Amino acid sequence: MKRELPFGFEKILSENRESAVRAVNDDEGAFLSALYLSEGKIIEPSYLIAMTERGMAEEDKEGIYHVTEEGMAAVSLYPLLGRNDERNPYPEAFFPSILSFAASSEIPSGQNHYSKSFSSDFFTSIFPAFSKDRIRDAAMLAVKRLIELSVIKEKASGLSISLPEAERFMSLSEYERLALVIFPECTHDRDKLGKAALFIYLVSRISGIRKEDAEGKLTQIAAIAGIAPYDEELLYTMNIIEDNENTVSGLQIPEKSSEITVSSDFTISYTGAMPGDIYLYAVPEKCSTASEWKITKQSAKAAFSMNLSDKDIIGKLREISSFDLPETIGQRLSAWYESYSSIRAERALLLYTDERNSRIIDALPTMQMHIVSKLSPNIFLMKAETEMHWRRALENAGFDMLGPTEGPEMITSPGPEITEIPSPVFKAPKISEEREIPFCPGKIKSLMDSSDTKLRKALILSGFITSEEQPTPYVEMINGLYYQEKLRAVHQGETKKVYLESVDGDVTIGRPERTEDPDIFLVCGKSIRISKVWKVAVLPASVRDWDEDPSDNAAWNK
Amino acid sequence: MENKPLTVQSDRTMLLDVHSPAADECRSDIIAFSDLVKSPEHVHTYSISQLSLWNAISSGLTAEEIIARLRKWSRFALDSRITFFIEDQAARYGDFILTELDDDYLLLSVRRPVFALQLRAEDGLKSLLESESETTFRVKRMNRGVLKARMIKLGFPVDDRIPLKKGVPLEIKLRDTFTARPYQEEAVKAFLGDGKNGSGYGTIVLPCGSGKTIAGILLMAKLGMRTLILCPNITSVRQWIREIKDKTYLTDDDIGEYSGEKKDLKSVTVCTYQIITWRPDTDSDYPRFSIFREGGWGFIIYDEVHMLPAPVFRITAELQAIHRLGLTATLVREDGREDEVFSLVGPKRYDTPWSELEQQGFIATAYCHEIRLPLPEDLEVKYAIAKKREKYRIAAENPKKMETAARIISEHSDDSILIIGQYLDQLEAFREKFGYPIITGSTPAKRRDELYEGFRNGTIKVLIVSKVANSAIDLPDASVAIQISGTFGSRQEEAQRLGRILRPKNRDSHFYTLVTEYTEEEEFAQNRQKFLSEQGYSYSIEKAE
Repeated sequence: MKRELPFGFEKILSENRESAVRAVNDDEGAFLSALYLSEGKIIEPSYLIAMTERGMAEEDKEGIYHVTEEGMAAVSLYPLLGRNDERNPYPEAFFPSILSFAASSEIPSGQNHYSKSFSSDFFTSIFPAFSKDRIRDAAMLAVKRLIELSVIKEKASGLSISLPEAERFMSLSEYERLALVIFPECTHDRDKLGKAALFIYLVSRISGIRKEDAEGKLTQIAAIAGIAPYDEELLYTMNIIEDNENTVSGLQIPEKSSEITVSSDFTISYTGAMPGDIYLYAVPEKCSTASEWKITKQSAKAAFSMNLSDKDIIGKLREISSFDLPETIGQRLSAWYESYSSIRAERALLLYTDERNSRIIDALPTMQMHIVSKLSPNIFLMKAETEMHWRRALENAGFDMLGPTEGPEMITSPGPEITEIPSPVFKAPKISEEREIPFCPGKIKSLMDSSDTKLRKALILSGFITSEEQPTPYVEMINGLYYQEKLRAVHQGETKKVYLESVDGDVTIGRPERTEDPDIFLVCGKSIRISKVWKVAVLPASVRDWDEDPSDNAAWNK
Repeated sequence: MENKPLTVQSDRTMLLDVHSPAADECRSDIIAFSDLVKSPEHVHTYSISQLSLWNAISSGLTAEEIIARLRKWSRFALDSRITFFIEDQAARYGDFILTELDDDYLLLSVRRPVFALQLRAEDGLKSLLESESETTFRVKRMNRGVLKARMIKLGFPVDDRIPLKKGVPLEIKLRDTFTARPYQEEAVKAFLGDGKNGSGYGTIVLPCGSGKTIAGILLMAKLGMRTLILCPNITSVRQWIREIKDKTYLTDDDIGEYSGEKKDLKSVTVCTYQIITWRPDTDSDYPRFSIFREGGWGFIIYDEVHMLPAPVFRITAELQAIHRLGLTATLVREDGREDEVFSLVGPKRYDTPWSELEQQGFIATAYCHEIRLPLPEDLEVKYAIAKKREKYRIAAENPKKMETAARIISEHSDDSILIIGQYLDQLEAFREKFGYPIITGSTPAKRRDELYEGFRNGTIKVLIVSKVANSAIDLPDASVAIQISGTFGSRQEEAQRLGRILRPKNRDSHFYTLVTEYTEEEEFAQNRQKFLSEQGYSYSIEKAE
């Protein structure tokens, strides 16, 4: 809901600019402005008498002084705010764009991570009229504050927004939103918030003030608004004021939107203030004199994950659109919603699907290792600790509309890893500079003969398993059908070791090195094509390389 | 303020409110120095670029005039960055002037020595420039186009003051059996400009079915010179010949077909890109490029210029002294070489929103339908485990598309229908199932002509075609197209295919795209639809029954 601020000089100023400017000097103008804004509480006897004598102020029956109509006409805010010249437009879609980005579920949490997204050219290019640095700084400040205000949620899985808090935030006027960012002390004090908003309102209206006068004028405005000292630089950072060659001016913050068009190419365009809450279901393309947002599959998915349905979005679009909504938009949203609703994850454990998806998941080889059991025809109990992997497996299989996991989040920090074999604690003392072969070939052969799996044999040859009593440790084996998982495991192995089993049954253990071809890497000097790998597991770095003793390799075939 | 239809933004895009009563007047004022970017239902977007400004300035407009026009129509005060950009770019024009020197060389003069230093420092230009003095360079004649193209990419517009050559004169009289449409006249006017240097070459963008060929013929008549016409395929070559004979008094004695079958070089010669770029092996030169140089041509027309192959770019760079016309409906190249078309063939001189011509009845009203259908159960898992590219193919070749196509065909029993697809196996399967005739790349030209003729005269009601029929095929009566598969997300192909059914006729046209739901094909389909939805076409999304 829009709020009215308790004054409005624009009309008077625009109608009487010249006479107003001539009627009073700077100090008198500042005094009358202050008197008006303080509702008679400011008493400066010398000015008061002079102004009363000139009919610009008067005392009422209760002894309170008011600015007369003539005084209003004469004063304007000229002396304080400068000439009411054309001001550049303020980036009205700034906060909505931040919320839209945060809602996209694609921005990782942690200041180091999200700052990259909000500093990216992709974000700053939305505001072509503003310097990239300024937009970056403003975004960083705003995101930090919005996290403190719980509008943006920072979870292990990434940033998201709290719908009720976002709606509450966006129901404020832009002046209040800016006040909340610049004056954190306003958060729990409505009175302070009002004063800070008034300050921003006035500051955004300054125009053509000489640079050397700016600080003084801003201090005067702060005094009128009744706010404590503040960091002037933040007014520039948040694009409330800008400096030109010799002057400082506010930016024009729009309060109304013009005609809003929703076109069949899925764009929403308007001039002026952002209509409704389009940031919930669309992404900003450009915010300039006119702004353009686009409804995309991803933005719709973000909206669905905030419990908005296709019908909700269509309703919102109908409400704001100045023309009939193109049929194609409603139909496309419904198709996306149908796809979104056909599969959902809950508490990192349960996967609900429709009949068709259940059939596919049942048959997907890459999902089998993650399914604990099937609770009903359409509900799978999943391994919570491998959520990241099964989500990726589903995405690779074409389930790109799977929304974020509902319910409590599995604590996975620092992120789910493939289970590692613990490194042995005991380390044999080094006796001489000559490298010793720890096991005699006879012992290795006997251990090999009694082993039943290739992994065990490989670990024997790597010096990891040294006796028959030692069990084969559990390692997560990536199935060869799953190309991306194999690739990830091999890359993970760059700081560790990998166990590789080729489709021909050959086994290699070693540290992989990348080559120019992403599909080919080197292990122990051997060129291996990922697509030809049947099984992969990540081993601790302490496991001996396959080529450390070539004689061991030969034992493989014995 | 409210009555003004234009919003000019600091990033040099302009939004035109098409519902404003002044929209038409405003459009004709701004089109001279801006490019139409998109034209959906309510707001059309234009953009001012370096190139669009230099083209405007080269054809006589001044920075002051451009700014005055913007002020006249803009709802809001102009951002100082806009006026600065216009003034700055206008001032740059004329910094580099190309004039005649001798038979082999041209002279590039720069306004200030510092510009010459800049040019000398550019690796891409060094090999083209030979220093003559502190502010002049000698440029080989054959490098004229390449130099201009490279310099424009570096932000140095060349003011090319070398007049276009007059080719061998040829009187081309138009028959009075047809009347040019207003937009065709406008396009001709925009192309010819004021007749001074900087005009007489460029690209005309008009929707499929709106009569681009006529615009070309009107220009041939205006210029009155020997003309070479390049087309994407033989069917299109024959269509040009048919149209020229129909609209002018030229006869077979004047018009030659230069193709695989015939090698007639006449005053007006029509040939294919393929035949002109033929060479014995990949290491040899292109022997037929001599046709460009030795034909005495005064005018070259590049039909479907968006398909211009790379070797033709090269030879076109040599042909800067000849009037050049590019014709296209969709100047969208998936390889992003639109700017090369602009700098070598010539800038966009005319473009008009498709929806305007549809409203005026110059192209058929077309309804676009996206029909979603499921993947058969037995392909679901195959699809899920397939790689991305294979996924697309599985979805595109969904066998259920046959049932859906059959239903659409039965609903349009009075229409002439094209079934258009990408994969030959799939098209062949359709042929086997339905028994309709098929045209693919391997269909002999004679057989193709017979089938197209049968389709035109109504003896064939349904024709299956591969991507050979994507463009430049005139099938006036086609009113329904069923797209069963396409080249991934190609926007250009989608528009060209819709174009097959846009010839005005006494019935509406319907363009059906069959899409397998919940698959990669959906994504690609949406990308394909971008160009058309930006032109104001709206797709209805329906489930297959």
